[in-house]
Amino acid sequence: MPQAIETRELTRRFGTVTAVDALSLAVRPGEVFGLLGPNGAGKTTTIKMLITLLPPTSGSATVSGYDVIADQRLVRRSIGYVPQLLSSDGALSARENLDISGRLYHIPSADRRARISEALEFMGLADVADNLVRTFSGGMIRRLEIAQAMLHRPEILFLDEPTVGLDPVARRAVWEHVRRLRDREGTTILLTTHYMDEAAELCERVGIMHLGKLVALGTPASLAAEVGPAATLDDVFTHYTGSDLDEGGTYRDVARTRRTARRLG
Amino acid sequence: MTSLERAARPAAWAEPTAAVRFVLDAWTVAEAELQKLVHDPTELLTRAVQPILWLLVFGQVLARARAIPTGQLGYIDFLAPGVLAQSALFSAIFFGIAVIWECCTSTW
Repeated sequence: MPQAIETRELTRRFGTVTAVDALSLAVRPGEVFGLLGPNGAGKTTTIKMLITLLPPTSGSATVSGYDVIADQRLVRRSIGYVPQLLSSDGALSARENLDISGRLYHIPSADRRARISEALEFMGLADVADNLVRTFSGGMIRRLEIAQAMLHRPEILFLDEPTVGLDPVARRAVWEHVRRLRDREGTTILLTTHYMDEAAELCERVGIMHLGKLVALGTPASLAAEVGPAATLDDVFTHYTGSDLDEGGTYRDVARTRRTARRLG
Repeated sequence: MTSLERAARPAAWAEPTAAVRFVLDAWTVAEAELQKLVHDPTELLTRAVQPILWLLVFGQVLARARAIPTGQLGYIDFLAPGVLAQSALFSAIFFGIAVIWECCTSTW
């Protein structure tokens, strides 16, 4: 069986900064793979290259069997992407937001209407389908965004920091929906996070990135076992990135996270 | 994955040609904007404030001052098409900038 995502020596430089440094990684079909790392580790840059929003400086990658440089359109049709920043429009209703996504993927209209109703039901948003999104809570917005990204039934779903800025109850609800989605559709899911509990809860395998390089790869349990008998994923993270979680992040990162949190919260 | 395997994958629906896609996608975005006005018609007023100010304030003042020679044409008549064109142009520019902002400056 071919890999869902495969990168070979994938590299991206911004000026003198190497954001992603010769990353070679394979994600199996149907798995939930977590890309972990402190702020600035290169997680989002990696995703942006995989979804064809950012060309690699060197190296190559295939997504769903298609090359991210040569077959951009085919890659885009095979994937769904939920960005870190807000992507639903607050001035429109949930149903209208879904309709825009469906139309931009050119789903025929009868099919589109059926899928939208079903997606609203599945994400627990049927009762508020015609309310404006700006009246939604952060967790509801995230669920709507995931529904928008899944409307064209992609084989692979990219979630960039899916629960940043959400309260614990809303996070659990998002996790629950991600899991149900995977079970029902068999979608391969690649998510980035710096919440270790999220990775341990959701991911079958995780890769830890540090300064653009992949420094560890395995199941959450096997990585923890390698570090020590009673180690948690937090310890694994600290072990490989050599930093406490609290130290990460520049002013810009903090500003961005707070902004996202405010928009969602 | 070989090209044979790829071809065997069933396409859920046919993708329109590039030209058709352009028209459909542009209409989708435009209709979403119209839909926002349906939800909140006060937007129309806020968007009208600037051109109205141009016509009433600048138009009236300069018409009285007769600072700009407009020949047979009244100054307001002279000004109105320009204000309309400017409103359309600026809306398009600001919306375009917002789209570019959204797609190209998000963080990595």
